[in-house]
Amino acid sequence: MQRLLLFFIIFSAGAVAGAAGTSGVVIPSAPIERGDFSSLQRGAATFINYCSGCHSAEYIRYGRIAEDLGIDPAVLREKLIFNEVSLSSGIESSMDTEEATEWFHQAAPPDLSLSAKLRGVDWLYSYLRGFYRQEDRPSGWNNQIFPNVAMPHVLADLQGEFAVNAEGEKTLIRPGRLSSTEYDLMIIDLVNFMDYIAEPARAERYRAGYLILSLLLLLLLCTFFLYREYWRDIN
Amino acid sequence: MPEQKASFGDWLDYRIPWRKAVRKHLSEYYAPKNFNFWYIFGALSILMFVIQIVSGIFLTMSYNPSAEGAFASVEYIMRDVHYGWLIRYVHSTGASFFFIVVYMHMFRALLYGSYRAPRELIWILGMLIFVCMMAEAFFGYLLPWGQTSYWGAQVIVNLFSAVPVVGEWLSETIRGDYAISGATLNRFFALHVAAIPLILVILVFLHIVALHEVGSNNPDGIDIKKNKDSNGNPLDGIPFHPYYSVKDLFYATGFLILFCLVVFFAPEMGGYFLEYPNYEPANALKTPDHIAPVWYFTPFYAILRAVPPWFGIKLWGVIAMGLSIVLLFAMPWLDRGLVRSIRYRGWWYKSALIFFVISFFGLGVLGVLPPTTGRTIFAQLFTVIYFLFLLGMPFYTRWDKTTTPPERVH
Repeated sequence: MQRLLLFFIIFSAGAVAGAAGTSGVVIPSAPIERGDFSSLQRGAATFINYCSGCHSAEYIRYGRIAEDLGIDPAVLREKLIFNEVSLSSGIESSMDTEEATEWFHQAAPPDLSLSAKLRGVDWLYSYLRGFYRQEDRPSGWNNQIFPNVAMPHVLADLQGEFAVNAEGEKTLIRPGRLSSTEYDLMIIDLVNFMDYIAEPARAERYRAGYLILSLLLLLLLCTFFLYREYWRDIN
Repeated sequence: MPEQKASFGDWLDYRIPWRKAVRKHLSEYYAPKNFNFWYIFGALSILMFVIQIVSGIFLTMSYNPSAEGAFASVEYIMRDVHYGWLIRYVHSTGASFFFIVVYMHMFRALLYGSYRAPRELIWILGMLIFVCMMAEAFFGYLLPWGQTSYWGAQVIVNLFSAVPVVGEWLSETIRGDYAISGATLNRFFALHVAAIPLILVILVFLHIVALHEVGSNNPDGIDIKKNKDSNGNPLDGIPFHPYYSVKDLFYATGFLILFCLVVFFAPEMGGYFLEYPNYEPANALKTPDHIAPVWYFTPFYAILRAVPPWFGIKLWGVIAMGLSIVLLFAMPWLDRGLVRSIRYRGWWYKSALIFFVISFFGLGVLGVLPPTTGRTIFAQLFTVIYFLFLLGMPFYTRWDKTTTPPERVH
């Protein structure tokens, strides 16, 4: 309930403050909660089940995910690793790059390790909710945030199918397995996980930052008194 | 022969004059006692230089300078190397902070006329340091081998092809190839980690030796060596150590707090210190929509773009950008004012400096943004003001109604 409330508050604030996207669509800020382990674990499951079929995330190692998100490595191996790779390997795509390049008309699915840095979490959040049906596209899909994207709507079964008319109005033409809110919450978890894999050391960086800053403030105090003491005979 | 009971210090002093050096440069280097806030940036520049060298050495241990491995090795540093993220963010944030303190240091010289006789050589050595820093930053920016790295280098190296006759040869020599490639990355790496830092060390050394020979300027712009006590020390001077060493220690700590706030909590600084498109590996087949250089280059980049290609020749912009830096070298001779410090100058210099600062900031902002007709007109206006400040200097500094500085510092 709290999460939902937070989501609506941030969503509405984001919708007001959000910058207009490339196709005139407002990009709200993604209401992710960094360090929320259950959200990150759900996001990891979604990523590995739905994204890693085509996309790699080669710079994040399975073992690191287990360690950082509090997942037992044995559980991770049983539930989330579908091939015989070691825990120290990164997330590999199941797709062959050469074949993928051909299938997607020269746009092989990119590696997603850093997409949260490259595109920003807000962009990802809107992009993953922005697909609509367009039969004359090679994939049968288009996207409000990324016009003419090569990627089809992999999550259509969950979100449902939308159509967008000439005025840009979006209508649901076939409902999915999840309600609109459930789908948004799933995407929030997924984006949260993608934000984490883009910089797994972020939490450590913040912790170290507070420590170093408190030490420096202490040093500032010492150097200030030193400075004042020495300069007493000048002033 | 040294005496048998001599301490290690004596032993050493007999062989290398370390005591003399300490006296000359620290404990008996008399600096004016009226240094203000603007005088901390010299020491801070040295601090930033040391931070860059040390963090750079550690980055080099794990970085792979090849087109195939560079991008992945940066991510390896960010994820797998112990405190690699810290080393890299210190280095990337350090680059921007180095330019911030050096720009402040140069502005101090404009405020108080520190470049004027007898400190012309200090200014010229400082300008050489600034040019080397720009080269160092440019070579370093290619190394992460992301999209901004690649296309930024492409744009800058292509500038050299605008030079008549030898242009093509020159740009190919810089690249080591017909396009930016692994060969370019290798030579930029060599220049970034060995050649330019060596030159910088020598220039910084000479900059300080030259400064300590003639002595520091001060906010009043007057010569403290005119009034000496019976020991021959300036009455308005105080030994650098301990007075300015403790003062600099305090300010350096404050500065490090600001530095760490960025390193730990905003290392990308909203895409200005680390540009977001650089999180995509370099791709020679995919040109980004908008390529902007890092913020510390943008004033000069804006000058480059502002100059129209008269007679269909692209070279004018390159010439203007080059001149905008070369003319700064001539400042000791362009300034013909009767006083050094802005405190005793008239409204001519004061307003000229204000307009110059506004133009420099304006150009910096415009250099980040994609050009539009309106923005180009503003960039042209600021470019004209930038050059008027320098080229008009021999005239307006002469017309200025200056007041007489005091005999002793305030």
